[in-house]
Amino acid sequence: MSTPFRRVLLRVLAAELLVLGLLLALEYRYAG
Amino acid sequence: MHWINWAIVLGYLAYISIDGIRRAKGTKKLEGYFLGNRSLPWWVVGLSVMATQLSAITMIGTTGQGANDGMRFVQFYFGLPVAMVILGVTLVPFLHRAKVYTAYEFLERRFDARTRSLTSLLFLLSRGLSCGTIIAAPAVVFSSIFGLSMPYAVALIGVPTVLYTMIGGIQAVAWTDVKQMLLIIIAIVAIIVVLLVRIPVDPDSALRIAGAAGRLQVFDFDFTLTKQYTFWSGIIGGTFLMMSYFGTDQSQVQRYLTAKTVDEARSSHLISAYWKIPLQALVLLIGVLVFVFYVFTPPPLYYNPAQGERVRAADPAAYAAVSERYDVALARRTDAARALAHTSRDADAAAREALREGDREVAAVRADAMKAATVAGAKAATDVNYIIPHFVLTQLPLGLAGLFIAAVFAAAMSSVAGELASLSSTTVIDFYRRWVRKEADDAHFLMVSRAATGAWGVFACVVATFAADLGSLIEVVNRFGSFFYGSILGVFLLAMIPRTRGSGAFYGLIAGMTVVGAVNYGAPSVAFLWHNVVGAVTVVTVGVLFGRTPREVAA
Repeated sequence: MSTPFRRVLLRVLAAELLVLGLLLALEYRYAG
Repeated sequence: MHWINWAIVLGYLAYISIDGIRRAKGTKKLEGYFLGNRSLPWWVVGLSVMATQLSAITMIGTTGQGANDGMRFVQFYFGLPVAMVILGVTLVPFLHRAKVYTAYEFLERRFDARTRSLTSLLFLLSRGLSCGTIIAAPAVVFSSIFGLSMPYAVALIGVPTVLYTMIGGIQAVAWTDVKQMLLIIIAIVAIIVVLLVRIPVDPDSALRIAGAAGRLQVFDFDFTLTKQYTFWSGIIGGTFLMMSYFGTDQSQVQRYLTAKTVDEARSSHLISAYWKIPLQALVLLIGVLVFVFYVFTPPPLYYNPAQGERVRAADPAAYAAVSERYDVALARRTDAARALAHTSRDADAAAREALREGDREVAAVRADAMKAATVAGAKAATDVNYIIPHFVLTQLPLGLAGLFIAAVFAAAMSSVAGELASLSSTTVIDFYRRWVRKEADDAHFLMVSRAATGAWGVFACVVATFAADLGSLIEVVNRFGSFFYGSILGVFLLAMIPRTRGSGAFYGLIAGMTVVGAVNYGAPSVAFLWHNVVGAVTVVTVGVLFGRTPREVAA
């Protein structure tokens, strides 16, 4: 795996994890 | 609708048509017409990709789904970011460096003419009809709400789109997409702000009400192949589907082939990778907030006015009885929501249960009302697509309703324009120039390309006009489309494995479609997202089993 690709992949995965984390927090707080 | 709202919608239609048509000056050659002279900036390509993917069905169907079913549909997109990154190092550089006009052209260079012709034919069959349904979905809603006849509603969306795509080519498509995407985002944000202002409780209480009614349930970690939308089907099946759609479907491939460089093509995809899930969550949140709004403001029994009128005319007594039950159920749900909003979070279990019970009762009465509509002869036994248009036209302030309707037009037009451009490029490059007339000057091919765009536009409008009568046929074609989506991805993946053969690709494609068909008929309850995995894996397996060209021959 080349370095630039690994960096892009990590950035995209981090952003996705952040969004999924926010959705999970929304569900946990309000849907019970 | 108030004349000011109509003026905004017609103003938008006039502006976007003129803006698209004036792009014709950069389309003197075939490369300009189909690929924008391979010179578009990455952000234009990226926004255009997003605009094509976001159709009117998203604006009125997905929002309605949010109101009825909540946020769980967002799981469908969980595989998209990963798919975009994988495409950035696989198919995007492959196809961009190959300097092809269509994705299928690449398959002939790599494999053979029959694989190219079969994949492009499958694309034309499915996209040609789906283009009609993209126009039909909003046209059906608008014709019912505004009392327009179906041909007029179709023409309102179809005629400007066909005109600017035919004259301005892909440059018109991409640049109008940017403006349409901005309009859509402004409309989405504006409607959320209005909803937050109009709901009579604070945002925290509104979300507690939505949560108690099950509308904020996002994740389903159940690994069951028969469930349509789960975390796993989204992450695994969704990755394959998104790789197939964004990596091999000409309506998307054509867009990133317009980018200046491979890096710009990759960057354009990253806009979707970062923003698609948040955008889709916002679209669903509109529906969730509309649900909360209608907890406090009594909604109609039928969001589709024509459906309500039909039931009332067929059986006035039954209509009155259902209406009475509905009013009682709504009042009970409103009382439960008010009680929940005034209960502290620590001791709200009973209030939540009361709201859930109230919501179940409302849903049960609505289900009976839909049954009555079917008995009365209504074609669609659901009115999910009418929830948001009803809210927009009865609740949004003057001007904003026009803005939202214009955004629905924008969503439909941007998708249709992208598909028309791709249908035209596939028709001309993969069939006309390949099989009918190989040698001619650019002026000739340009003329044929414009004619092909116009012809596909007329075909899509005819399909849209008769969509209601063609219902079962369109469903068959859509189902047929899901048979080969993963399989086509399999062919492109096979192309990246060194020395795999044309015969492996061709028979692998047929095997992939056959296996997906067998899964569909043998186990019809398996969710369609998994079909993409089955198709792609089958093609690659069969293709590899067919053997590889010996290294010395390949060299």
